[in-house]
Amino acid sequence: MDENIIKKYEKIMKIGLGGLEAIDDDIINTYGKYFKKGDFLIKEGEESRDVFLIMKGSVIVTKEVNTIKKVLAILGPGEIVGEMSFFESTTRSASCIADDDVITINFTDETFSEIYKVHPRWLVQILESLSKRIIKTMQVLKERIG
Amino acid sequence: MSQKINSDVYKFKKDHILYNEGDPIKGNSIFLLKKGHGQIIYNLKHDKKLILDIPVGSIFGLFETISNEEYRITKVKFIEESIVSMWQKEDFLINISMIPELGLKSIVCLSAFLRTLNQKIQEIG
Repeated sequence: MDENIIKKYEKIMKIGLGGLEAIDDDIINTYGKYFKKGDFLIKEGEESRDVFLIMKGSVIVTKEVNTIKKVLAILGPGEIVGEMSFFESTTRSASCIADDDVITINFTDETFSEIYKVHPRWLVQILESLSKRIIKTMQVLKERIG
Repeated sequence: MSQKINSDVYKFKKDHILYNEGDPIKGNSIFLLKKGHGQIIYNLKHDKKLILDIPVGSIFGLFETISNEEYRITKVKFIEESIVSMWQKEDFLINISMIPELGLKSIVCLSAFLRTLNQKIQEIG
């Protein structure tokens, strides 16, 4: 097998088996992306499918409602954004903007599926991230109604 | 009232309330609707409620359990006679590692739920 492919799979297995703690500089150099305050990770309405695992900094999730931007959530290290479009194959339902210097690990369809195949329990982290966001969003909804 | 069909599958009559807001989360706490129809009811302010359908094939009860909430935030009621698979959190997590489709389905269900909540926020402005 090609040496580069072996190295790639080693990195993917490392993330899958060890989760966040296994993500070292080598993995960040391969899959990492850097954003400055105000940079868009994701733009609402666009058709992209990358999944972002936040390693450093905070990310604001906004949605445009009648030309006004509403903040839905502020996410930090360990949380995941972009998985909704990944799993449902739909356009981006909200924008994600860097609130300070942000580092993410980016997964494409290919790398994300590979991690899943190697170690499906890694998905528990995504389930936790989504569940926490649901609870935050429910609180926002209750506040808006009141 | 429920009727045990096998070790993890139960049948519930129409109008049965599976759990109420404020109920402690313990034991079988994650569910898959195999047959019938249910509703998730979330109490908002001023007696307003958000009611979301649970169609066949949906996994529910998951977000409160996975995020380690002590008590239910929502109520779930069956509006038809329904058949439901149930898991304790630990068993569900083991199943995810063995049945990739279950993990994927869980994420799709949570994603769809989050998307619906976001749409509701958009509607009220």
